[in-house]
Amino acid sequence: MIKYSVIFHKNIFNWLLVIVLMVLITGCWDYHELDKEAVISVFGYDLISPYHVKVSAYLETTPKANSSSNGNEGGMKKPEIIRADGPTIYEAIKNMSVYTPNELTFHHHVISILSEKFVSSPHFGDGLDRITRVGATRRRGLFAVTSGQSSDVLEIKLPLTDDLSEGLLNLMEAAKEQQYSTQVDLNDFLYDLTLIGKEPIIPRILITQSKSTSFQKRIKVYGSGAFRGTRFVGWLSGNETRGVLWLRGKSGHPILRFPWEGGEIMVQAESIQTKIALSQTSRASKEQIPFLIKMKWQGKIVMYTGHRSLKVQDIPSIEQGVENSMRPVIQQSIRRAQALHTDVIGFGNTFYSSQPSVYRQKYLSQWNDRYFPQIQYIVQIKAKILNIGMTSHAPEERD
Amino acid sequence: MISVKQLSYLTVILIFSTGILYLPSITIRHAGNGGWLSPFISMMVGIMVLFIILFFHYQFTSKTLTEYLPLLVGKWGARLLGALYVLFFWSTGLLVVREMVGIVRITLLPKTPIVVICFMIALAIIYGAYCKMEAIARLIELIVLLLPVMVIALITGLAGAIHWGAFFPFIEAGWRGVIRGAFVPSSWFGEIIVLAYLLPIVSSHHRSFSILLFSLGITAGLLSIIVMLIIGVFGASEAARTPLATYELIRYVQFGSFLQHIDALFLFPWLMFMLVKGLLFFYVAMISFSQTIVLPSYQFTIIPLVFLSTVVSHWMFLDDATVSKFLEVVWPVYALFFEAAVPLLLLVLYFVRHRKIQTIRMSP
Repeated sequence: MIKYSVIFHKNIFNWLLVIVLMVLITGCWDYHELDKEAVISVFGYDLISPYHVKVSAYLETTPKANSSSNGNEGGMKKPEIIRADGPTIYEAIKNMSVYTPNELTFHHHVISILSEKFVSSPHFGDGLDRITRVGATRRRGLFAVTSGQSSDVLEIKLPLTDDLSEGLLNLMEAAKEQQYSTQVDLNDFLYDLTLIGKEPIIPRILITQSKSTSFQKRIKVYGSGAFRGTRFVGWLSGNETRGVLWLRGKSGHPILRFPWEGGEIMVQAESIQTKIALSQTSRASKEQIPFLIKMKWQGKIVMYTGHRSLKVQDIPSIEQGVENSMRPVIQQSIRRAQALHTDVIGFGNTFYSSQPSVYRQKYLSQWNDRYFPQIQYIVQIKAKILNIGMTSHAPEERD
Repeated sequence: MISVKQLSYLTVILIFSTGILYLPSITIRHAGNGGWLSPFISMMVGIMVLFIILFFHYQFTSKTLTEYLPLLVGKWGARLLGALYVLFFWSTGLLVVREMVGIVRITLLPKTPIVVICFMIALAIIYGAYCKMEAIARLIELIVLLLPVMVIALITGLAGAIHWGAFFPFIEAGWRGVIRGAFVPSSWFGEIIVLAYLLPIVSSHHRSFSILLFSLGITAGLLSIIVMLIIGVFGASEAARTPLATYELIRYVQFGSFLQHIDALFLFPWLMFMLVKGLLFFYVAMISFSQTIVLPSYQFTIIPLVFLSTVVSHWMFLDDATVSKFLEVVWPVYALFFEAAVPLLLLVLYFVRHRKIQTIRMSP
């Protein structure tokens, strides 16, 4: 009898435990039904008026959700675009949820496209606070800026893909490889924003229209937008962006083209290493801070249009050609940044890293406006051709 | 009985589990990009506490802190100090539970009522406490291997995202900043005081000081790596304004374009470590409580103490910001009083009494 009661009580306890756990099983509150979610992959930010923001979302719903609404079982993923506006980004996004029966989710958000007007307004800074505070958006989410309306970008159908986010991502990857543009995620932007003596850049998305594509709109990732803090200050061309990226020590495989011995030679970089340091020249004044830029380029020859056979003795002159073609790109990008009064290269950060207290006390507050436009610099480039390719010269016709 | 090896694993989990939660942000706020050096300075407090508790353990073998308190401060003093230590261990366990609830709510279960999460954690702690220290030690042996895996995965998943420029100028806040940044984490290292209750059940004390010292070094190293990664990925300014910087770091981990959104894989071991830490503090609180009021078994106290803590944690810390502020402002002073100041005073008292006895013995 005693034994029975012990077993009974033990079982009662176990059963009670199981029942309590079943009732309290936390999935009841935090479950996710994939077909009930509207996944935002691309998000656009526009400015309607100084006090009004428009947001556009490129939504991706699962095949099941489409099939249930269209009656098309197993149908293709069908992206949808929804828009909403409000006095602040937060309210605009809130209003957006009114237009969709599914729950809006940013968990798989890939790119945010910002219009030029939007990033020129204080709304962008406020938006950054919203994005990082709510925490729904990951810091891996990319940024791009466009001169027109960001919502126009969302409307464009990219060739060979139905997924705009994937297409944009691939375009950015390609542009990053060639260094005509770059890839900047939320974390990179915040890092540059909070780093002393360096200003952020964001890749640019261009909408093009030409006869060759029957006036169909196309997207191109080319150049970048320069910022001063959270404010957009101007555009950098593809070449200027290249120079900035070289100076920032960003890796890529850009191709350079220059004339050589009756033809043109194209070289592709395998690595570019840059070191910027404060130069200790006696001529430097307090107003004109001198810097020494040391660059090391390594790459290979990918094309030669001349008819000369390439020999080992020719390599130094090709390397000289590489150095000569890089120098103006660098000078042009520095000049552009100086004209925009924004140190997107990070000369100020180099100075700060070397003499933190001097920089903080004397230069920090006026660096972009007063000292950066006057900096002196010497560029030292050392190019090294690692490979001339599989052939020595271009194929020749038989006489 | 448990082994010294298990005790050393326990030491690492004890400090690391909650140390990586709010600590990096607090440290970086004071130490800037030199924050990665602060854990090594904080470790000094841990070494001091370890030395004191081991010294007392060798003097009063097979006795816990509560048991040898009467020999140092008398019967009533021991009761008062014992009661205060019960409160300290219980409140620390409570704080760990609250931190755990906070991280679960932010990361995994944002819509689930806080009471439910508290209740689930409390049930796990109650079950663990009933299983006694030997079972907890075996559990630690099972999960401790996940810790290096977690850190290595973090390093490899973030290798390409580190901005080396974030570490320059070297120690921008100066050594003063690094020391200030080490103040709060030192209270985490001081938590090693719980070993004063576990040393009597350790089977062999062969090389125990060097093993525990090594585990303290490992913990400081791991914390330093995490702080380094946070500074390198986010930069010091951004890390300082992100209270849960380690969680943000985990969310940033990505292996190419094929392995993303893997934060849950990191959260599983992390929550296990926190659970073990909470369990350990409640276990020690129950042991010291039962020894202070001379109860035959600590198991009577498990359910009331754990449930009381879930209620009090909810009542004391209504939001996560309060937890963070409490940890930064109140906790270091409160904890270091029990972890370092009281043991140090006890050591002084021991030497004073010991010398007195020797003087009496030597006098003709």
